[in-house]
Amino acid sequence: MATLSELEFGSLFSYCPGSTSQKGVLAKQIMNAIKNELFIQHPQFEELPASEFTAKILKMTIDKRGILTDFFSEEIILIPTPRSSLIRKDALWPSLQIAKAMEQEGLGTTKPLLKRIKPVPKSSMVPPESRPHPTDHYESIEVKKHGLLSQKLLLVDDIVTRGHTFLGAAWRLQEVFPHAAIRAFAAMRTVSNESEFKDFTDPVRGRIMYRPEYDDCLRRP
Amino acid sequence: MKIKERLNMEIKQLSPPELMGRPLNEVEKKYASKVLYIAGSMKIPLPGPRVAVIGTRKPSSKGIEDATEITKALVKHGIVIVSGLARGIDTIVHKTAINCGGKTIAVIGTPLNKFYPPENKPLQELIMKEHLAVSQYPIGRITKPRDFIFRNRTMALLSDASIIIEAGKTSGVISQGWETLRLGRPLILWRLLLNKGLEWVEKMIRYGAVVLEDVDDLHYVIEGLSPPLEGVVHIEDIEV
Repeated sequence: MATLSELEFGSLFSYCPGSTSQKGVLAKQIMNAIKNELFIQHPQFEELPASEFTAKILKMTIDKRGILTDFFSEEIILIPTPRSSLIRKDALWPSLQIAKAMEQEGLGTTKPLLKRIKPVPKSSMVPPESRPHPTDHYESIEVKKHGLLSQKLLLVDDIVTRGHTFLGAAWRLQEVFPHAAIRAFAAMRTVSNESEFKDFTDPVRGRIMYRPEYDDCLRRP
Repeated sequence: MKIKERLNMEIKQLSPPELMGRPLNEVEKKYASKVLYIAGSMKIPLPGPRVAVIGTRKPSSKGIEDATEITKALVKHGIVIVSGLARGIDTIVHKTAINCGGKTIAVIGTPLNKFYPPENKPLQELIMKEHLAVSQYPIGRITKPRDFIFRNRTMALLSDASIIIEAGKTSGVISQGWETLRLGRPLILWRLLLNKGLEWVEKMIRYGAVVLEDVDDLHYVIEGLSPPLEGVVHIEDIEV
């Protein structure tokens, strides 16, 4: 197994599962929209699918604030992380939708290289102790055949909680691309402590750190 | 006034986005009927969250008991109960929702002026008056067996999640289960479906269906549906 113990990540939006404030409820609605590819309306845009909305706001954020600039370019390969279960060809895959929308904004090129070959429990439907660990993700994901030469890979997901899916997927990629720079981007990150939740737009750059003794991750921020 | 004229006045014609209060994404559009016919007093766009509870036409006594308990628990949390008005589980589910003071939507496989099974005519009429009945078929259409399969896809589209209580090897609910998974919505398989040698159950679990062992665990489903997926998310201001 690959030895990557730390993964740099970026995220654009945030939500706090326990928040009942007006901002908190709006953030949860946006989270639902992202997970289900529903529509978001903003005075500046027409109604847009959540993936396109995310990519447009991301592009504006990069251009205006210079945040996460080095994460994106046309040579970056955007790799959607697999869902927790096997997936049929025409089924909804939010990470793929987000990656494709990011490609439209010139933020990289989408290659769905990763495939789930064995389902893992869906985190939102099981108690915390039954949630999959990074090694569970690693063991249930495979890399599809490819002819890629790029050495800059960016994993793309809809939501990042602790980063277990990202790290398990990164380990798989690292085996096939041992010299590649692998990073991760999630449209939204969870904020467990309400006092740390500011607003749904809260772009950050951070780290996902593996703890082998627990087979889990710490995400900062 | 003749019955047909009265029905025509009561039946409204809407598109799925009008009924659901939001546009459909590309995955949802694939099998969505262009037109839906509705009758009833439920507010439009539909309230949510909506959960389909479905199952076999020939349930066991345990299946009936569990369908009743699950429906009651959902109604208690303000969930709108969706089903197909077929014999068996569907009928139990609609009746339980109504008796508990909940709201129910019947998505039927015939035009709204037809009653199948015939013994459910009073129930369908009650739903068309006080709740909501939905059909994708215009009055006058001659019903074909495959219409019920397409109806199942429509029911999956209108429901934020689906729960299958009990079913056999070739049940019609299988098509609804697969469509629910395709749409990326939660598909819940009640424990009665396990250990029956049903291949589709094992396969659906690999593709993301979740087994519900206990009614108390329904809270995972309910929490995941909050806030409801109503309408379009409006953002007034955004700091970039």
